[in-house]
Amino acid sequence: MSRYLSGLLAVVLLSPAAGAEEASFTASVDRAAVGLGEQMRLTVSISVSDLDQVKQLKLPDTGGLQVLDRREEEALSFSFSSGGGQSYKKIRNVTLLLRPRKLGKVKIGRASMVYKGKRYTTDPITIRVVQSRPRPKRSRRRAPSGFPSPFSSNDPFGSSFDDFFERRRVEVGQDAIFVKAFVSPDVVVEGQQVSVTVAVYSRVGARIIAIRWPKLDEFFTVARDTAGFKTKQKVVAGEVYMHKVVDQKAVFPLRAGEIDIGSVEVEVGFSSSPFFPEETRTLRTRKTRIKVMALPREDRPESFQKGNVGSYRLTATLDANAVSLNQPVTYTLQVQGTGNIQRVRPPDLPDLPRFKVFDPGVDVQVAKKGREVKGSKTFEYILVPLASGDLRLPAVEFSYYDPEEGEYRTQRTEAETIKVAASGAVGVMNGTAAGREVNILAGAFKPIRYRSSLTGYGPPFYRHSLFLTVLVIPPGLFLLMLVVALVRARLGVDTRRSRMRKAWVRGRQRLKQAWQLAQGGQAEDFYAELKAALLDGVESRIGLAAQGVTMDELRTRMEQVGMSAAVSDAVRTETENCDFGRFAPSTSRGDQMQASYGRVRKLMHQLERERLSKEAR
Amino acid sequence: MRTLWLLLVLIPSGAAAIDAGLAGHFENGNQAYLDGDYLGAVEAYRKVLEGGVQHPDMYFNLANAYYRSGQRGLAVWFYEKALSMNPSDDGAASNLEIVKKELIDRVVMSEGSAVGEPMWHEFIRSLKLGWLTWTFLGFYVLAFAILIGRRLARADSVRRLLFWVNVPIITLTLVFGLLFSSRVYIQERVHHGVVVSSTVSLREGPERTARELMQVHEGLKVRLLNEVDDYLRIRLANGVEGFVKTSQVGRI
Repeated sequence: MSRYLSGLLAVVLLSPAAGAEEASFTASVDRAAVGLGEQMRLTVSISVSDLDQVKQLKLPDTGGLQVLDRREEEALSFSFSSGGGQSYKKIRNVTLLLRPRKLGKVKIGRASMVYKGKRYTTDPITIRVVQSRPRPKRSRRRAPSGFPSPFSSNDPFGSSFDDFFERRRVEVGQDAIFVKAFVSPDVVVEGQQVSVTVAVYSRVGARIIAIRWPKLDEFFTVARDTAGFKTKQKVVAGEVYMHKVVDQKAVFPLRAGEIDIGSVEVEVGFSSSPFFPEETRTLRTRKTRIKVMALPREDRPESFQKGNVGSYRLTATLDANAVSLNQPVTYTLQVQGTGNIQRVRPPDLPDLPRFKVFDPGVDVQVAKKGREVKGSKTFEYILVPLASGDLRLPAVEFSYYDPEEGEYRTQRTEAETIKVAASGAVGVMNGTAAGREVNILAGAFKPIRYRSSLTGYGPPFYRHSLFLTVLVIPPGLFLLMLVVALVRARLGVDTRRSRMRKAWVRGRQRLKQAWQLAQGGQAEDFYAELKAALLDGVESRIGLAAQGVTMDELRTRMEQVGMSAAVSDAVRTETENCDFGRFAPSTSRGDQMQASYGRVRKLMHQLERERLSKEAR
Repeated sequence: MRTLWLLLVLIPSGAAAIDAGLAGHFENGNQAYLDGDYLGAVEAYRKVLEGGVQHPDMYFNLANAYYRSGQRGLAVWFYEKALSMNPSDDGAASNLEIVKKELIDRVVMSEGSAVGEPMWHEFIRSLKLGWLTWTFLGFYVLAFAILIGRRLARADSVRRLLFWVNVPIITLTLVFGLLFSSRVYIQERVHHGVVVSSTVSLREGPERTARELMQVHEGLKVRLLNEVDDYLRIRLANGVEGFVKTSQVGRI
């Protein structure tokens, strides 16, 4: 269905008169009399330009007929009017499958709808229900989809919706759609344009699937744009057809004689009814023969070159009239006109011994639209003057054969003079115009740079190691700050382990302080500091404050953490020794303080070793 | 810190004065050029180049001397080198245009093709590498300095201010970082060269016996793709690819 709709839509879109506003709203039955228990169909048909505008659709009262099923179909319908206009409509068919349940007359009521604010109703329908008669059985058709038709199970006549539509199918004849090629003109000279136009004539909605051209080896071909061609209505043999140009080529015969243009194949898709799938068909144009005459030999100019057939105009421009020696000038020749512009040969430049002439750069511009091929071809020559002074560029001739006039024609440019200065006066030349001295400033060749430090440029900085350093330092510093902050944050947490670590550090510091006090002979302070260092050492081992605890409690705790009795005893002995030293400082000599210091230091090392061995475990 | 600043100033500018002997060669080249002895000028300038000097003025003068001595391919090569080093060198661009008009090869683009250098390559190449490097580094260091300053700041108001100041700085750092890395990518990975021999056979393969696709002539700028033995695979602006002898193309 979608293929069908797109096919129709392709044609509908071409229609200028699409979208008529008249609505059609009808109801019909497929039979006026129906047997009791048999089935019949009631179809309500809406035909409008915009189905979305259909409101309040009310199906008719079936007058007691049993509704077995309901089916809806939508489609597009395309038509021409006798006045040459075209229109399309969207169709919605609602079909009810009905079965009567009693004999007699049955009146089917009115259906109604509102379209664009206007109410439409159908006429009531009266049918007769009669006694059913036995009928010969028919073989049932299967639905194309492979699924059983929803109507087939109780269909005593073996009919289905597909049968229903199949009976209404209209065969699209060969004359309903055909294709034609127009070749104009059919008598030409070599190189003259022949237009081949392919048009489709159709009485049904159709779309173009493909166009296949025959080999055109004996022609130079140029495709033309057919987008501008409108769909038209044409009467052929009394029948109205839609006519559409689908492709066009301009062909230029490459030899004289009779040349055949083969059939153009056009593959189209179409359908005779909105309810049927699309059918494809390949249409062919008739073979056409054209007569190509040779170009006349008489009056043929010397400058004529084969291929220059059409109607042309030649122009020449020079980008500078004054240059210095060796400075190039651009001499541009442009051929404009109608004909096979792409095959136009460049005009022969006269002999220019005082110039170095490079092969021309060529630019071709061809208009895509229009039956006739038109455009321009530009030849850009680079001329380098090899001598100074006034160098003359003679006129250039371009000859072509004009098929419309049937004669050769020649175009000539004006001769030009180029003032060439010696290379010493680069870019600045003196000339005379209308008796007045003028300065002609042409594009100058820049001189060398006489003074330069030749510094300031070297290998790019990103290759230097310093670049990497500059790149790494800022994020490195930033990361370092983050790490320091992290460490400080971690150290700031008051855990048992941190307390032990701090106590150990404190103990070491106090031990150092005690040594200094011993050196100064301050016995009282020495012993006080030594005891504090020892207790800090113990705290770093047991993880609890040792200050202010009785020696018995301290011993118990030390044993709880697995310290040896010897160490506990040593701690106790040294603590008492320190107390003694503090309270009787006069009895302490320097050697005794040193001995105490040595013992405590050894003891602290022993404490540390025990701590580390325990952590290792 | 003073040393660092000194390095920052000196290293990118290559500010060290060139050797007196090389400066003498440069002056000799200039004098030879003015005397019309273009081959002598080329010889003198070449000595400066061999001394390790890389400078757009040096390339420009050498290109002029090559052009005046009729060696257009070499002239184009050195103009292109000058422009590669300093894209805003108008003199080199102007003279290059003049020389190009005298070249034989015009690359014809096939209809609808667009295989020349992408637009963004052209744009990025037009940015000066030195300027781009320092602009990027400036914003980069500034962005981190503000980040560090923000961490050190104690007052909330200062920290908030530094945060909002740093938002555009970081954005600019990213933009210039992208431009800088693109420029470095093009500098390091997208190579061009100029045909320096008068006529060069473009072959299908990296061998002398490979079929000749076409002949190209001096001064044609090409993209260098890769090197196979002593052949270079090159691509013309219209997408045509082939192999030429390495010695026939000057790398820009």
